[in-house]
Amino acid sequence: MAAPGSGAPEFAMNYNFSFAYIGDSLPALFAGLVMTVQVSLLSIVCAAAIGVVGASIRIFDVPVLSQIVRFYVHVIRTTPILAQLYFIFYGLPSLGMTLSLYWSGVLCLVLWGGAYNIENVRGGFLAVSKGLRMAADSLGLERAQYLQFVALPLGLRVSTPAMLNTSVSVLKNSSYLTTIGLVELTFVAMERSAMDFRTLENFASICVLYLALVWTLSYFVRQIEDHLHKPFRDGR
Amino acid sequence: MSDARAVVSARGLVKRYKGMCALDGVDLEIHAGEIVVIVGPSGSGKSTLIRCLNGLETIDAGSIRIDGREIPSQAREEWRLARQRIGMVFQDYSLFPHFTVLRNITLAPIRAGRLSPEEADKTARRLLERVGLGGYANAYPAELSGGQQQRVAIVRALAMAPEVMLFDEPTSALDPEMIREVLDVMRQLSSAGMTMAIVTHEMGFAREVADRIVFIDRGRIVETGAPEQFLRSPRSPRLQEFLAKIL
Ligand SMILES: Nc1ncnc2c1ncn2[C@@H]1O[C@H](COP(=O)(O)OP(=O)(O)OP(=O)(O)O)[C@@H](O)[C@H]1O
Ligand SMILES: [Mg+2]
Repeated sequence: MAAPGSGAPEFAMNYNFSFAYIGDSLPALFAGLVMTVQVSLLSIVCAAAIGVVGASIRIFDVPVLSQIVRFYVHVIRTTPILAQLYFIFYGLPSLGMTLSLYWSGVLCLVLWGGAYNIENVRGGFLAVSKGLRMAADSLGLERAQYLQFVALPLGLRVSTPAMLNTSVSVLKNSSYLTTIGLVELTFVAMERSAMDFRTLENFASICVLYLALVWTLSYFVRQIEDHLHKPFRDGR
Repeated sequence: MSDARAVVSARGLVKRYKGMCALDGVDLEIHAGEIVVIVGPSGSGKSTLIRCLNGLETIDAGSIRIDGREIPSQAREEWRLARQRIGMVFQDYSLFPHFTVLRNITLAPIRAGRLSPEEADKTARRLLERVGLGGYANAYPAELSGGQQQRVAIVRALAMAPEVMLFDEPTSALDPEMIREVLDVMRQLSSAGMTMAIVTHEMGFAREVADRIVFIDRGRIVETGAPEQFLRSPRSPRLQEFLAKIL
């Protein structure tokens, strides 16, 4: 421990962590939490839907659309999410498309998660054996019926773990929306730290909250997974 | 043309995979009530032929007619509707593993609007009874033996009331006792007058039920004839060689 006044760096061992401060922060943190949950949940659901639609277009190799989907996935996966966010929030208005803070954020997260989910769901679809596709075809089922009754129930079983990962990432990526000024969890912590210099309390609090959110999300996904697996009595 | 009576007919069928010719000008007609058995060495194009006959493969040349009507490969919707009248049974059964036996059987007839859910249910149970699986309506495929699964797969195809049934080596993944169960079901179909095209290596069965046996080698039909003549006095050396190997 450095002696005071010696000029050596001073370690903050005497920092006194204030639980009372966290108590005072709760209303603000809660407001941020609500925004984070709202934006993330909406984005996760929409991204899952995009995943299913995009993957279906890819496996049925729908002309033109299939190429567009490939291009979209490629672009999202090879560029940083922050660049994508700024493109949407600062770039799109120049093209005559102005979205609110909130919707810019949602669009960014949906596009990002959607691209990853397309690959996740496609992986699940590809894991469904060619034979079952042929069996469905031989029975004269429509493509949409094959999707609904065979590819989705069987493929989603395979892709849920990967989709959970992507959903957790969408949740965590919602903190990037701070940079465009959306008042979510991270924004609240940054703002209050800047005001009160209680950086440690603020960021410790939001880390705990993010952790709780990820646990909750994983719990619900596991419920869904169990539900999907139910008909397989024989461990297949 | 005799095409009018043919339920399924192929003319000058050519199918290539990346330049490799799997079918090289195949002509085949299957008439109403007829049972055609298709034999040939591994890789000769038997499965490809069967899949082409119900439009599961796009063809590179030639034509396929169903009930005398040519359906081009690109006519996807037309082929889909045609397939509702063509039953198909695969070597690996290909049952939907997440559905019960009953749901496997009733899915297509209900979705095609052929049968109401109640009718489909009744039909399925009646057919299951007939193939000796009366008690298995609520089982899942994984809970059944291979022979049982294959009988379910046959029932699933029959539930659409097809005009013709295509079989691609329906017994070659099965143990001997199970082979008998499945062949017995196919014998039943034969005596009921079902039109069938069967790829199989079961020559005893072929001799018994076939009206005609077709020998295919390297994508071409080399010889065809009534079972007795076909098996007893094969003309082409390649068929003689093939029969010597499998009999
Ligand atoms: N999807 C495919 N892609 C590429 N080549 C294929 C494909 N399906 C079949 N072939 C090739 O076409 C040829 C004919 O195959 P096919 O499966 O029709 O033979 P088969 O007579 O059914 O053989 P087996 O008795 O082994 O089932 C083979 O050389 C095979 O490798
Ligand atoms: Mg084969």
